Amino acid sequence: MRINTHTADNKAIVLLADGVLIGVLSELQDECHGDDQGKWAIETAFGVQEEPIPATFASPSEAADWISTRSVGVAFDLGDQVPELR
Amino acid sequence: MAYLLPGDLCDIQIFLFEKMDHSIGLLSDAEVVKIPATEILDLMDRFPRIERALMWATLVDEATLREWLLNVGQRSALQRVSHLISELCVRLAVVGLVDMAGAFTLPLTQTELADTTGMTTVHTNRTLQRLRKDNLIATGHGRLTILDPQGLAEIGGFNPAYLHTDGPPVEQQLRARLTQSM
Repeated sequence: MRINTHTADNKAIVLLADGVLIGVLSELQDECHGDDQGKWAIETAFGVQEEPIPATFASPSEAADWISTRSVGVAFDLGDQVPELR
Repeated sequence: MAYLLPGDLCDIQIFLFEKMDHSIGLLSDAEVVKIPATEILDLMDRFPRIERALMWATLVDEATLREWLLNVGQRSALQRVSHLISELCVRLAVVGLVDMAGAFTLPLTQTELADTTGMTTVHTNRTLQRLRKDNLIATGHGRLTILDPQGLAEIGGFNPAYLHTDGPPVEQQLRARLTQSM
């Protein structure tokens, strides 16, 4: 899914746990992120009490896992959900 | 939270508290002058105009804090960053630290800027990028240049009135005000 961040970060993943929205992830593609370019960030997380949310994650799986274990108590299998956008 | 810039007073009457409830740190090299509580008390007792000037400085600090509360509580990401940059520019200009091109040194990391505006570092980066792309600011070599002060102020809803850059009133102004209000 695409996301509008007003930057080159336009690749997002919407996380649904049994049909329930628990979070949105995005890939840091814009050059403004410097060394973090290519990493993933949590745009928003639902049902998560823990603060602060880590700034970046090495992969979307790590970010998804971080949210789902805290939001619904189970690890998230992202499988092949990582989109290939052009 | 507050940023103290060169020339700013800090915790001038903190000795009235038994225990300090916050901390102060340096984000850059600085010359810090420590004034003993007895000196401050003595100054305030002996010179009412100095006492009023110190009260004025505290009032401006409070006004700034109100704006910062509004910033993190009610403004959007773009507004928050625009407002903060606009404010810092006006405050630094008062002490002559903004050059003719509107550039000033900003010794802040993106994490510190994110903490100040209550945003993530990722979103702070994006917001700065958007301001750069819209030709409102330019950054580089630890300096920030405001290319379009009016445009930036409009986005941030920034009105510098709360900074009271004219300074505390002199005796004559104060008397005139008191006469008017009677």
